[in-house]
Amino acid sequence: MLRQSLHGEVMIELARYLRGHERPDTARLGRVCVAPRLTVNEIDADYKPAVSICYADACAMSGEQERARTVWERTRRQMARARPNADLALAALDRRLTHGLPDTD
Amino acid sequence: MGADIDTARRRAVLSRIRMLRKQRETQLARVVLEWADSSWGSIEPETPANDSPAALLREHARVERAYLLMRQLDGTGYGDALKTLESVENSVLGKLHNVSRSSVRLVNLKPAPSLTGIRKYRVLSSIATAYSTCGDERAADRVIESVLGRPFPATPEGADEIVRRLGKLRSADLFSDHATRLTRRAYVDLLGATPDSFAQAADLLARARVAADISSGLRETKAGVLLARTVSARVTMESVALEPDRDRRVDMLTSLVTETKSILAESTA
Repeated sequence: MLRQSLHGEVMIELARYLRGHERPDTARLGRVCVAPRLTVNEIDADYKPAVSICYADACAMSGEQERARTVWERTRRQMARARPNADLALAALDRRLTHGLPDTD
Repeated sequence: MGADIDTARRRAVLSRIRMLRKQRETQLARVVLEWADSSWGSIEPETPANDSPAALLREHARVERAYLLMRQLDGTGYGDALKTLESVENSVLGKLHNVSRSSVRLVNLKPAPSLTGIRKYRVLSSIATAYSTCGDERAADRVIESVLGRPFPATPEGADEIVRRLGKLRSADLFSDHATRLTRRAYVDLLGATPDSFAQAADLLARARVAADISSGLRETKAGVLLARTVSARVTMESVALEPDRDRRVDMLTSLVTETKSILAESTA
């Protein structure tokens, strides 16, 4: 599952730099690979925020803004509670919640 | 003989708990731990002799407890997990816990380390990984330096002495864990997206690359090689953000998609 997730994360990372229909298509494929790990991680607090953020970014790239927002918000809540010292990650989530996904152009 | 059998039984239960925890079956791992505690009073043997298999079991069991504590959903377990890890670290290194000014005279009663030699290194490298999972990277670095007796090597040549001391497999695990920790820290810096945080991430990823390459060179089994490739792929993925040219980024990630697909296919074959 971890390796499948890594494969998905790489695809989502690639989607950030693609243009046209390739971007949502690649992001959607990446989401499919990442989702099982995220579901399992929801049952305990030792989750990897990177995966949650990556999944939400993929949702935003494939046009599901509401779902992306929900996952960003949930990740922010969990991080603020479990890892209060992760200032940079919290700030990055705040930026996403205010301005949406950062532009890679 | 009876004590040996008792230790072996506890070790078998602890292995089960560890396996469940790694498979993220947290609730089940907790149930097994509670069962062990109710059967024996506690899964950790009471007052084991220093540097014995029972002492090793006790320290590993406490690290496992810390992992389960940090997985509490309300996030309240992190503080307790850190305290547990600190207590194991002090016990393994023979340090007094929280020595105050008024108790300085107790220094002569400094406890002996509970473990020595390779057993000590094994537990300390587990503690470092657990500290990192708990988010305390500074503590993880401190523990790793106490295993190595110096800062982590910045070049592959610096690793020879460590391999001589710890053996190939243990060293490979140590370097893999280190590469993973540095990559995780770099990820957070990249999220920060400031010039300073990018510079910090570049430094961390350069060190992670060295650690991943050393680990890769030490792996011999198929599973070990796959693990090394996975760690290396993660370092490469995070490094892409540092590449200034967009087309080059796409090329790097396209090759990486092929690599991760191949890793996935080989690990499920």
